[in-house]
Amino acid sequence: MEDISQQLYSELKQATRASDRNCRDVAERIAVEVARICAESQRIQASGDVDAWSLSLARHRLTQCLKYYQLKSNRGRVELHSTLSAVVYRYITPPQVQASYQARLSLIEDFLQGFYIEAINAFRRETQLLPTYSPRSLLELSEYMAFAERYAKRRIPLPGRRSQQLIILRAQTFSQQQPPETLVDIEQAAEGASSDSEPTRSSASLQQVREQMVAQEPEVAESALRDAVVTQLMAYLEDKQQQDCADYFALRLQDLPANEIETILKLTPRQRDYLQQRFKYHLIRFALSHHWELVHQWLEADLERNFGLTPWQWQQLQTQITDQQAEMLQLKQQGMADAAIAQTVGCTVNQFQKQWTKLLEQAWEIRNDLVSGAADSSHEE
Amino acid sequence: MEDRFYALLKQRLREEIEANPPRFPWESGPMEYELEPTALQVWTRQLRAIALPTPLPDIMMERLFSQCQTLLQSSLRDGAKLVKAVEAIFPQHPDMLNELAGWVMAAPARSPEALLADTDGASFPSQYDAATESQKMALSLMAAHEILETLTCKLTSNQPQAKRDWLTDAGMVRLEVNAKVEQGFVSVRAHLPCAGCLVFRGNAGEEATARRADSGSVAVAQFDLQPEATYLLDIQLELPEHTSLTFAVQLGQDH
Repeated sequence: MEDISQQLYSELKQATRASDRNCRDVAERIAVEVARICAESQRIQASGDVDAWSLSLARHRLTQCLKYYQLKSNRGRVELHSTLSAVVYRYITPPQVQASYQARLSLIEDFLQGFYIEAINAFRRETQLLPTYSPRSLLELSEYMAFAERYAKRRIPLPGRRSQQLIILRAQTFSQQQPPETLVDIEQAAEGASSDSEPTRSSASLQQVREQMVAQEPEVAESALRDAVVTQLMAYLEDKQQQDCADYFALRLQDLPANEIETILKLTPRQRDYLQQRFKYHLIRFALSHHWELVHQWLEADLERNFGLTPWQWQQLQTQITDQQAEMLQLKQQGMADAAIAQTVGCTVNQFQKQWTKLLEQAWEIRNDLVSGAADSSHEE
Repeated sequence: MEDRFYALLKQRLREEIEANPPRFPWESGPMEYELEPTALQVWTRQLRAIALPTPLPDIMMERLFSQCQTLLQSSLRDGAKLVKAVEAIFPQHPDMLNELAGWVMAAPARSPEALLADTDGASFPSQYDAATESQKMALSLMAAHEILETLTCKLTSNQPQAKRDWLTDAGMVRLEVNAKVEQGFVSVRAHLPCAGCLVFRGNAGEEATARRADSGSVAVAQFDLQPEATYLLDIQLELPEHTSLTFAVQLGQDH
């Protein structure tokens, strides 16, 4: 640990204008924390290379601290505050009122003020500084900001082998507007009442908070298939240089209402409407392009299920398509590869793909015509 | 997907936050955290001109400069002074430092190739951050050596004159030191780029001071100076932060 402390001291002297004393103290605090983490971690102890781990952890903390140092007091706190605000944004919901950007912002301000107090107290406690300690130099301030970020992102274990970041748990409690008396230690709540010596007065609140925490968790990802579609669609949008559609998509995935999306993207309702339409256009293009199988499978409208068409609709499709398209369809159903089909019907692979896309479009239209409302909502996904 | 959402939100939130940055619990108003000595920066311009295979960051130059200024008064031999100037920044490798210091003293400052054999054999990178630990130490030693040499005026019977130029943010400081070595007499003439003064400290706390209210020349002298002793010469410039540059004057024997 002495080595690490000296190493960090040297690096702080090379990278900052802080005094000798400051450099020494900060280096020491990082070294002590890293030593504690390595000692407590079974994984690190078992790795057989504790020194390498120590150095790596120490380096990481140093880099984080220096990041804030180089930004200095003003830009540093803006960086910290925007990072933390973004993390808690969707968990801070005004009660009984539709969330809006401004309303959330105002609550986030209050919330983070409380959080910063908690963070400085935790810092003082964990580094064994006096309760009256506060940062005076730029290096000390940077050290605090780096700590606040790490503290916020600490993972707290939850029931069922899950975990959540500390600041998110705090934000959820804040949103539920628990009165101060029943504010329970979230870590305690997460681990469950472990010892019987704990007063049972608060156990009802504990139970309630735990239930709420689990209930408040945003929907667990539905399926691997959905994830695959989402990932590929996002990549498709970025590839086509449709950054604003990609942004819109990202916000829709968070279930944000239209007015909130407007405020975040700084659009008028009309502009948002146009963007929505452009998004749908690209969504359809994506669905009908070479990604068609993935999307169709997800919509349960793949070829094995006759494009999701009823028998009657299927008949209708047969009458609409050309003979060549009908032949292609048959060969596709038999599992033949695209190149082979193209050769069989006597066209190029490109021409085959064009025809195939037209075919899909027609199936799409037929499917949507009869059940327009429901089909549209499946498009929205 | 979440990454994009967070990035988007963070970007958007910045606007409001920049307009109204948060205050931390212990802050009652806007606080000044940057209490580092900015006065040093007046002198560092000159230091950037020091030829090094890899340029040193300003922070490093300031630290080395500060250390060297403190060490001018010490009675350590040159080699020991050099090591001491750098070991405050690199305390972990005293042996390596000593060895490298020896090389730096032996080789002229302009040919770092002599040092390559003792570092990792790799050539010096273009950026300081990419240098190895021993390269960083070597670079610091080279810089400190150059700084100490420039700040020290050694006068002998054969070499009774020394001239120094030092570029500052306010302009050029020009120094001319002349000695009558056998008599222990040293006179100093300085051209200051702005208002300031020159203070030459002789034996037993004697001070010879010359001051001016604008740019121009000043001159001071001291008598009965002893050989092998170090006498300090302070150049003070009247800039917003009062700041001084210290030289060391030594009378010696010819070898």
